[in-house]
Amino acid sequence: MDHQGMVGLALGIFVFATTWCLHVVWWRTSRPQATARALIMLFGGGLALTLAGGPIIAAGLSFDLGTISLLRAILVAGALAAAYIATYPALEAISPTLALLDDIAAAPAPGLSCQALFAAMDDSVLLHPRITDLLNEGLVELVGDRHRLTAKGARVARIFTGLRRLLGLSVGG
Amino acid sequence: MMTILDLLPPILALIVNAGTQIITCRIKATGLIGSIICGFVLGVATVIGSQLTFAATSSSGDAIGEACANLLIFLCGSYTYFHFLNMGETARRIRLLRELEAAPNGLTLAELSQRYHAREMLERRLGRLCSKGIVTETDGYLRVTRKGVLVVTGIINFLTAVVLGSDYRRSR
Repeated sequence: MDHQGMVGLALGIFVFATTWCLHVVWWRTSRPQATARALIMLFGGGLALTLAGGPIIAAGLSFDLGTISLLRAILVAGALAAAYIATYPALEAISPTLALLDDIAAAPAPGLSCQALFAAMDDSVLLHPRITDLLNEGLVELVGDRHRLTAKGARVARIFTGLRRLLGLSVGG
Repeated sequence: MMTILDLLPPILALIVNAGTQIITCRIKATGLIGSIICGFVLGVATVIGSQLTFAATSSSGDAIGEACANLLIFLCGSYTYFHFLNMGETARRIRLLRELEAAPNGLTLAELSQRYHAREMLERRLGRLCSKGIVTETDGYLRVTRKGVLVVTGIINFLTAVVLGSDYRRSR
């Protein structure tokens, strides 16, 4: 019986899991400043190595890895990587929504007061670290005391402004 | 023998997902969340329908393996697309970028804080949580009423501890 569908699925999951483990080791040893760029390079590199090395390793192991199965594995690993990279900001940045839920759930009866909430989560917690992230990612630069978009930041901003216009939505945030 | 057509179902489904979401949202048939749900449902129908169609005509002997792989690709792709939309809706960094886009001479820290500050961030998010019935406010006190959502915070906290260390959140 042909198992090429399962082969592609299993290989894709294996590639993603291996790359993810490397990511954890790297981050726990010395987390890069520009994490988004590093994640894309790491998972992209994993996919490229699989594409180049997959048939060679399969031949060495006398294992039947068809072209379509290899492409399916790349799609599976790529889709898993994209989903993880999309989730990663919630790990690194304190998500206000998740932090809100954690703090409210942890408060004893009668609950968390709005006053205490606003006092605990101010600009130093919710705003300044995000500005630092934008500076580290090269999307914003500091000119004197003024923050300005770099060319890269302007491109990213245009993508999201364009998307909201396409969907007919307001400013968001 | 498998062909490139065997890889089409999830790609087709993702196109249907995104296309349906954009059209539904633009014509204001539903709000943003409703359009995302519509797109996802049609996308699932597309991946299942096209998988069944290709399985009927394909000579591949591993329809189950292919179906599982194609469904996983679609689900991950749909989830990523949802996050992309959500970033435009709620992400602080994207909002900051758009504020700076509207200020060609740049903004000082104080000016940025005036335009977008912690209080606004919290009020928007609390508003969403309360409107969905996840959090309720009584006499100025907040409680989580739909505790199922805490599973998500638990997963994120666990992943954070694994990837960034257990003292990461405390140090932030």
